[in-house]
Amino acid sequence: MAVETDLDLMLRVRRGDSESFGELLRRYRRPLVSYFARMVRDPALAEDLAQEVFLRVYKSRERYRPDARFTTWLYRIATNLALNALRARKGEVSSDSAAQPDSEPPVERFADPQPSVEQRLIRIDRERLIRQAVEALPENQRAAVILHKYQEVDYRQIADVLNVSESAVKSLLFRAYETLRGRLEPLLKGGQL
Amino acid sequence: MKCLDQEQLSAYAHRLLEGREEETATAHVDACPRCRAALEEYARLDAVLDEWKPSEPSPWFDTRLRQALAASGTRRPAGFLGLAWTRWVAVGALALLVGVGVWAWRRAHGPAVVPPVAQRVVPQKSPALQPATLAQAPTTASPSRIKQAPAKVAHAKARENASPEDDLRELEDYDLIANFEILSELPHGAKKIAK
Repeated sequence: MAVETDLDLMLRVRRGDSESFGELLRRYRRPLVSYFARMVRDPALAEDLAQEVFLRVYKSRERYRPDARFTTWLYRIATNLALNALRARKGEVSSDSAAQPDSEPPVERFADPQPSVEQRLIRIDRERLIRQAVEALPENQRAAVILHKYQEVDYRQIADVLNVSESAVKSLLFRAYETLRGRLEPLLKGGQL
Repeated sequence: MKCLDQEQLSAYAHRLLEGREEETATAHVDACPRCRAALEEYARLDAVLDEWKPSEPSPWFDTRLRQALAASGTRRPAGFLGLAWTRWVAVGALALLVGVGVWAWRRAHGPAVVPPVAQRVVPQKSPALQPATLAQAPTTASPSRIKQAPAKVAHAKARENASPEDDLRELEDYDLIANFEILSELPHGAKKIAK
């Protein structure tokens, strides 16, 4: 049986098929939670925002027009929510970072259950460095890199999501990757921080 | 061919080139050890970035989402003026409760029908406010606040034979605090009542 496209599912959702909405939810719950977790860091806020995206998709199902890819629509909603959340928290960022600078990321719950303590600490430290390097990027670069690198969204879609030109996305990505290359140099050289 | 510059290398490494641009870059990189070495650094960056693992939704994510969707579903078919019928029932019940409360309070704290101030305040000394003239006395108080309804005028006429002492006794039962402002506007003879 052929896998139904997101578009087919969304068109069924528009006609009131809740099972199709369930399928979309199964497909995108993990990517969306991950996207938000990388964008806003706070795992609880990430889940709230992912939930909000699904609610908005469901509420506006009757107005859905298949003139853009479903993922473009989904990530546009998600990115707007994430950027708004970041702006709302802007004043809190410094105190937040100071309050929990090295808090263990939630991913540790699902990691390899038997690494040694040393391996675990090294991995946590490396992950912290990467996270901080990405978080230090300007908002648009950060969104572009996370969409491109981690969500595997192509640059044309990113242009639609961020509402900028394709050449602007290429420029954003170039600057972002170059900045990351500089900041993560110790890790690139094979060093341990 | 000239070596790829930094931007071209980055774009090539991150698959941002297409068509002819990509073909040309591939042909060059295949033949150029220097550009291949530069590309390896982008591959290492890619591998390092992969170490930032994705987060999983918590076990209660689906439950919370289902609840939120269910709540959203019940709100959607909104009734008259955007309120569902259950809200109208709640509003009605609240209004009834407030009404009963007000009725009970008035029953416990004072007469159900409060006579007009002009009837209640009967100074003993001022001839202008003798019982016979009570019905025509509203000019002694603010006209905007105290209006003589026809039924109340009739009531005043029916009480023409009552003595001033009777009127004062009736006034003592009245909630003076609530009417202090009104009473303070009355002529000198009535002010003692407000104290």
